[in-house]
Amino acid sequence: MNADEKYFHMVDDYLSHQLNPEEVLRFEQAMKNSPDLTEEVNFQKDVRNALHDFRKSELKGRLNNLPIKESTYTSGFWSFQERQL
Amino acid sequence: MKDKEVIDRIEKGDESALDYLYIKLYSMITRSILKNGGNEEEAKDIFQDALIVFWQKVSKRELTLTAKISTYVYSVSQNLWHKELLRKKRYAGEPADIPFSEDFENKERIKIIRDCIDKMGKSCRDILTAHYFDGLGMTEIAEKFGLANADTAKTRKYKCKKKLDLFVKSHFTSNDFLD
Repeated sequence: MNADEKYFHMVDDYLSHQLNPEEVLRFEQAMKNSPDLTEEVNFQKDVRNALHDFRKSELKGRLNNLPIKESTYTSGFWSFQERQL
Repeated sequence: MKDKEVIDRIEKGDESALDYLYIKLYSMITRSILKNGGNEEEAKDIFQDALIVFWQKVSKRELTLTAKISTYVYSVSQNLWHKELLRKKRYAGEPADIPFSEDFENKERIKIIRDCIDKMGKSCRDILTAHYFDGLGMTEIAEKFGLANADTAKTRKYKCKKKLDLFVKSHFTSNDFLD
């Protein structure tokens, strides 16, 4: 693993809460001393948020394409409850 | 399909288990929201959000199910719907969203990144979303995407992530307003 890759995994582990308390402390101290590192962490947070947004819409798009029979609407438990009302 | 099998499949990142639950629970859950003052679009939206919460919790191994899946998804959707009702009440009569600049800039940034995600190769994108959203570990990633082992998956994830980062950074520098 080269230095670049190590750096990447450290930031990644920090954001995934994979570091132990001692490592977190050291990492956050390093952030205080390095604006570059802080900037990288903020950048990675944005990328993660965007990946979340993207995946969520992808899954919703998938569900929207599934065939839902309107007839299932009035069947089963809820229509039974309605009959009771 | 038994609940146990659904869980096993979700833990492997198998989306067909999500489809199965969607079709199975659709009428029961949307109906409960319709009965609580929601319209059809809202009911569908809330149900999908609740189901995706469930999907994510299971694939991240954050959930120990003590009740039936249907009961769990039902209660999540009820919670989400109550939150939505409160939100609607709070903002009733107020002018819609006045964006303040920091929030606006952040949204713009996320939008640019989303664009890049959209444009990147699907095989890389699928690995990244499976890891960063679904929370699959490297062993599951290897299995789902037909890679040799967890180490191969880790290297592949790293390379894909690097590619995306560089792609996004090149877009950022061409958008001066973000500096």
